[in-house]
Amino acid sequence: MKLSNKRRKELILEYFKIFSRELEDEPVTDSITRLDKIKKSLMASHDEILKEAEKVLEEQM
Amino acid sequence: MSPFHILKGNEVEHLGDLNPEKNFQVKHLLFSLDELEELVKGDEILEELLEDMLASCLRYVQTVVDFTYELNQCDGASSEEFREVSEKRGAIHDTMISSIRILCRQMNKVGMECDLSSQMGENRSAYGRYALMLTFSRLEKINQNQP
Repeated sequence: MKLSNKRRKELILEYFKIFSRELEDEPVTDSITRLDKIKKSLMASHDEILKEAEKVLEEQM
Repeated sequence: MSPFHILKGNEVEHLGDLNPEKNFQVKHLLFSLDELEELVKGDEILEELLEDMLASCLRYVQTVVDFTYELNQCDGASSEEFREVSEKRGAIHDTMISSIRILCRQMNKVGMECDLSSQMGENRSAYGRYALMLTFSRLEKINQNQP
């Protein structure tokens, strides 16, 4: 089933939020499963999601 | 042009509106993450300031994520959550800008030419885009370092 734009954006932002925690002092270790699930839902690779996230965020700058 | 700009500078075309007064036609070169790390290497104060700056950039980008998320949820700017996130975003944006200026000032103090502050001036969105660029560079590095 095709995701709505709203849902897609939501998942992209969630993916970024989880992954960006890797840059913090205490990264979340149990996040891989969730990231994989999001990748599957979006049918996109890690790089593709990050690129899309960058684009979405840039619009808000 | 400073010698640091001649290094493998990170060309950021979309930051071309950094100084609207001068209406620059040339592409601006801002320090990339690698360049910043290389420049501060060996100077304890600068290393610490860069660390603080990158943490501020990350915090800011995460706030933009929250802001965008709320905006996406409510399709407008009316919710209480949106207002809270929006206010928080402003304050964190100020902190991030200050952290860039502090690092730049210290770099100049020790004889390194840093004109990030003058290039971006009062353009808050330029600072935002720079924070975004640095944060994504850090994320790319994590990815590259993973087996």
